[in-house]
Amino acid sequence: MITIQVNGSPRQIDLEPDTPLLWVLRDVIGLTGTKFGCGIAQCGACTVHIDGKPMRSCSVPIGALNGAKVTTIEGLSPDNSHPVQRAWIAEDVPQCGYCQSGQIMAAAAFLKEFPSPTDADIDANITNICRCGTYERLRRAIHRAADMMKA
Amino acid sequence: MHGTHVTPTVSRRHFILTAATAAGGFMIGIGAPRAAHAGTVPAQPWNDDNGYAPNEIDAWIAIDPDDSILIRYQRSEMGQGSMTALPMMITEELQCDWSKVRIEYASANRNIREKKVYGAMFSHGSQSVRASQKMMQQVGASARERLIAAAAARWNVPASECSAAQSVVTHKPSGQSLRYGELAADAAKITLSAEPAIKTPAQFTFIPRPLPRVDVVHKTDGSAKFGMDAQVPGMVFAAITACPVPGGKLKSVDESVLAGAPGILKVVKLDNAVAVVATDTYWRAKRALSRLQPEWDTGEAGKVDSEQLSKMYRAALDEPMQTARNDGNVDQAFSGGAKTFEAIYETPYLSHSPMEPMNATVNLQPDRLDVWVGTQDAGEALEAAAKASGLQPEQVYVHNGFIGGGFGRRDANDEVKQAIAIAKAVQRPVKLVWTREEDTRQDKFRPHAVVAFKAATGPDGLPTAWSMRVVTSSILASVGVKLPPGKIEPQTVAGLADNGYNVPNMRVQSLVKNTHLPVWFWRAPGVNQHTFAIESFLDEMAVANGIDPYQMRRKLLANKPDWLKVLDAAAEKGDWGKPLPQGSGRGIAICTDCDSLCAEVAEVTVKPDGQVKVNRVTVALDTRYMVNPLTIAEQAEGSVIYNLSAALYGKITIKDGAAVQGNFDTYRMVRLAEAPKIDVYLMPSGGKVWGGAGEPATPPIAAAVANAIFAATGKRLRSLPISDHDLSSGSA
Amino acid sequence: MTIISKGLCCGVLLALCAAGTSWADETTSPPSNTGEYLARAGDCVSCHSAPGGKAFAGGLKMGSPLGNIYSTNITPDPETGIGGYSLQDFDRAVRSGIAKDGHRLYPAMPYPSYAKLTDANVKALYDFFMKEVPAVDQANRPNEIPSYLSFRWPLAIWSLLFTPSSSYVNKSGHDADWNRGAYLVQGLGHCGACHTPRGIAFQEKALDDGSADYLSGAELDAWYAPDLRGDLRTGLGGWSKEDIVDFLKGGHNKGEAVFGSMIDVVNNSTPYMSDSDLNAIAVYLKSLPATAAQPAYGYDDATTTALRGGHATQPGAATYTGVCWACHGYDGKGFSPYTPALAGNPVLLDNDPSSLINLVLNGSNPLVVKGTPDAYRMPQFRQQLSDQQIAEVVTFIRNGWGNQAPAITAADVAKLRKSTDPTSDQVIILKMR
Ligand code: FES
Ligand code: FES
Repeated sequence: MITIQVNGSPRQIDLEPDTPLLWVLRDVIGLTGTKFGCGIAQCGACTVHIDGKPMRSCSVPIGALNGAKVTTIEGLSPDNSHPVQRAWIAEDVPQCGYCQSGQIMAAAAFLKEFPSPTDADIDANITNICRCGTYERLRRAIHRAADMMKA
Repeated sequence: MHGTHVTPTVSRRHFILTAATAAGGFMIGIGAPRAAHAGTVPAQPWNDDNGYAPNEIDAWIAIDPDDSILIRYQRSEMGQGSMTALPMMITEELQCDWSKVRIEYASANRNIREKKVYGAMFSHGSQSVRASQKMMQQVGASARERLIAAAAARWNVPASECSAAQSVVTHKPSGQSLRYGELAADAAKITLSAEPAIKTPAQFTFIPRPLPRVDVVHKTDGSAKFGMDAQVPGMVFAAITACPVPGGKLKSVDESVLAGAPGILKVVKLDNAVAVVATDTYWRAKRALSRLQPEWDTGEAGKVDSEQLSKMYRAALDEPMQTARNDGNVDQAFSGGAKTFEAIYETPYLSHSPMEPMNATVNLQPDRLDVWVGTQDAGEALEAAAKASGLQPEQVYVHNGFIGGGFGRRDANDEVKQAIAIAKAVQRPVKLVWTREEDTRQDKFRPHAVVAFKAATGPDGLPTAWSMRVVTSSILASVGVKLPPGKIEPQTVAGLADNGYNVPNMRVQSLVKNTHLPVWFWRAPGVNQHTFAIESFLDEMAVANGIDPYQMRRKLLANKPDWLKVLDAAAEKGDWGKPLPQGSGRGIAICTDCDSLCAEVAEVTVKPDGQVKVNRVTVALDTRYMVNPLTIAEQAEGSVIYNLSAALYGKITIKDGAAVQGNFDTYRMVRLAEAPKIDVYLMPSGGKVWGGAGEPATPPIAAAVANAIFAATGKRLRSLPISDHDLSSGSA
Repeated sequence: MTIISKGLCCGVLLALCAAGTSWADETTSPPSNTGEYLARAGDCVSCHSAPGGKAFAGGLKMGSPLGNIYSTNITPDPETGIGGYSLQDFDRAVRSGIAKDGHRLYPAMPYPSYAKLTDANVKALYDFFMKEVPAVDQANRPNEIPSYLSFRWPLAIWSLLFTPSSSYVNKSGHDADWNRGAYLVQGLGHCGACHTPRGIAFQEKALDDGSADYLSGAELDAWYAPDLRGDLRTGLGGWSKEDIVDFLKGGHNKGEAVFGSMIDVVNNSTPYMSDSDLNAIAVYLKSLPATAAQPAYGYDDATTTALRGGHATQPGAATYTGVCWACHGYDGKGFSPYTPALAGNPVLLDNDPSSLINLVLNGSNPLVVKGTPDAYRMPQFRQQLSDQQIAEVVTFIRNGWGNQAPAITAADVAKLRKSTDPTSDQVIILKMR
């Protein structure tokens, strides 16, 4: 039995320890905001925060997570009010939206470490794939969120 | 900041838009759209019942006593924004308060039962807006007139003395007014003796307007429900692998390796696939599936590889072809040409690779089938589901979700048929999910094409004769559509036969050579591959004849003011002709697609080690009309990135009859670090038809980048992807 | 509660689960003297079967310094296989490298190792191949060795020089476990074929523990087969016996994961061996002294802190946080034992970076333990990362978290990029029958 905290609530997981966190979130707990895109840590659609750090949940086995605190897109803010979410809405970033939970989680964690990011910082750290090609707006939204966090 | 430029300017009809560019187009300035005017859509967009609501005026519109308005949306939402745009068109005519509008998917089931009241339900060919435009306006206008008639009857005044605005009907002479919510029940009973005329674009007051898309809020907090997210009580999870060689069959599979495995419900054998069904997680099903070693019967197709296909296509260039266009006398003109040019261009198979892998969830009961899926065509999905299940179409309910990217792929509904077959075998609600590898390999690919050009140029350096011959495979054959004999498949010559160039002798021909590989519509079908070829070849001629490639196009488009306008805008805004450092270059390309026009300029740097960086792309797009310019700009940006991934890296190689590439490590995508800055200029020119917005900015980028690489390095690329070519400075 | 979550209570089982053997049968250890068991221990199937082909029918392409050679059909088919072999013929092929028709086998067949087999084991193997392996009618593929190089007579001299002439003899002063381990490692396991450096005649420099060269690590086929001796950083000095057993049994242990051509060995051989044999192997390997005095590895979390705080500025750090961190963590510890650690991993610490570069470029073939593919697999990065980026990130991880190893250059990567192929995600399970 593995215990993890998901968005503040403790969860007991009774599954093979090699099961990726992604499927625990989606299929067992029913938090479907975290998406499956590739399953091999290439796309970032499954990005969540584990103990505050961005991780790709498709490649994190729950067996390694006993006691960990997991935050998913559903837990980023109670009301879509996190600066990154507000910036995303203001820039009308999402198209199909499928990659965006992951993009937002990646950006939110990134901005904690890079409160005044340069474009080069963004390039190096936000490596999630967006097939709809929202990169232009996404970059703008990250800068906007950074500004909002400072204000 | 880059992107669609924020231009502080006159606000006409709340829409920051100005006729500011020298090219006479609009430069749209889109800052942060505010939520003040927001219509809404539920996070779970599908309707779980059979598609009725209280207080309906008709199948499209319901107005509650509190004035909130439900508008049904009959097509799909995959990020292209028509779930916002179509209700905006209804709003334009209905004269209602956008902030009170709620949107939900129209029921495909009701469409069957009520004689196609919603018409066609598909979203493809950039048609959602343009093919619905008249219908949407009519729907809004009729409801408005019925509300007015209801008010007029209530007041006992002629309807002509009443008018509607912001969800209120007013009788001007008496100053009386009634809210829509107070009139809806009466309006529902009214039949108009004649349909009202719809507005002309000049009469629009609400559109065009850059509004935030209604689905965006749900796509920032994880609540938006995609097909992948459907949850049905008692649901089990299926993973599938189909024969890697299309057309192959399952010979055998030893399922004994899964005997006693915990949580495994069943191994389901289909004609051409094996699925494993697990009770608790998709992961369990996927892991169990990976333990099976199915044997396939692949026949001769199992011996095919890319090299053979390429040879076969090239050899077929000399075979007789169908003619799509034949102006003047090409053969005669060749003999008189001052200079001739010949080149063969080749473009590879591509996968669609939408971000959301194929999936479908079904609940099959004896007398009812429910399907949850993100489909580009709910109507077609319903028909396919009925056929696969053996139920009547009236018994099938398709619950469309937000689609995690379509690009043409989610038109085929093959995942739906598979899910139904599995549900039949396990007698439980099933969620079927494809792995990314399956999604890539079992795609119906963008066709592989070979184009042979021959052209002659005159003393002024301009082409006098131009022959284009294409060998490719037929998308319609994959769809199952048979063209009448003698009719040429439009996609085989799209981007070539419809070029805008004034060349007196021009012939465009094609030959269909089908292989075992299914091919399909891929964002801007036909045009996406042929624009690379034709626009690169034109560049070859320009350079060889010492003419600036932009000027060459100008001359050949001299009699086409609308083409010239987008070309000039792209060149001017893209700084055409301005100096660039060593190792950098600009390229330009133009096309027509879906009745729109698009020109793009790409600015590229090629590093000494051969790495290509596209720094900046300027897009000039004429969609003729616009509903939501914000969405159109987004579509243009997305189109550029989509085809840039393909141009730089995209290629499905065939080995032993099967696609080699699987996940994103072998089928590479442009990421943020490689994404150019994109400036979009929208310049709707009006006219008779409405143009599409989701696709037309897709094709030019490949040629624009290839031409820019030539400008930077002197290396001419006649095949894609670019990553196949050695562009390092030492190389030949 | 599933079988596996029960396993969590037990340290050893946990490691087994790590390999993803959710349903693998870990309990049965076949008797260690049957022909089938010995064929597993010798990993005959990995070389004598081609992907998608029939077991033991041969046809696997193997590169050699002379040109490509193809493994042969060793099923009992009388025409194309070894159906016509007597026990003596078989013995001569296995222990002396001479085929029935008298031609000399290329030493891709590890007969210098197999020479150490006991008579009884050769007989058991013979019986297995003759009676239990189904005959497959599949002609051998001619080797692609230029004719001027294909004279086989020098092989006779080679064999004479480099093949021991008798079976393994127990060494006194060592217990039964040690001797059994030595027999398996030197003989059937032919570990030295990859892990012992080769001399100028392409011979293994040593065939047993009498030399410090033995199993001291070697480059081979663009991989570096690591040092298996007691070296603290680059060898097995930091591994316990249990770590070795876990690794052979499931392809993983506390921090490392199998890669490269060793994947074939774990896919087809070691997990099928008995616990006592694996333990014997571990006992023997742990007895091999270090060849160099190395300070023990010590974890240093400065790299972690810098990566987490976003202020790691070394070249390669950005690639790490953009790409590698997702599976190997900011702390370089991976998700042990599921995905390998980079911190302190002997493979990273060796001077020879071939394996690392190869892995980053090409990824890893699927590890399949007793029919169950591994849950996690290293993808390939040859498309996404340039030579320079790979050089930087590999240098970064070779010097992060207390690791210390020489920097590598873009030219090193370019060389391997040309000479290696990407792996495939296709799961191949070779069956023995
Ligand atoms: S699904 Fe996890 S990174 Fe793609
Ligand atoms: S918004 Fe569709 S994939 Fe990013």
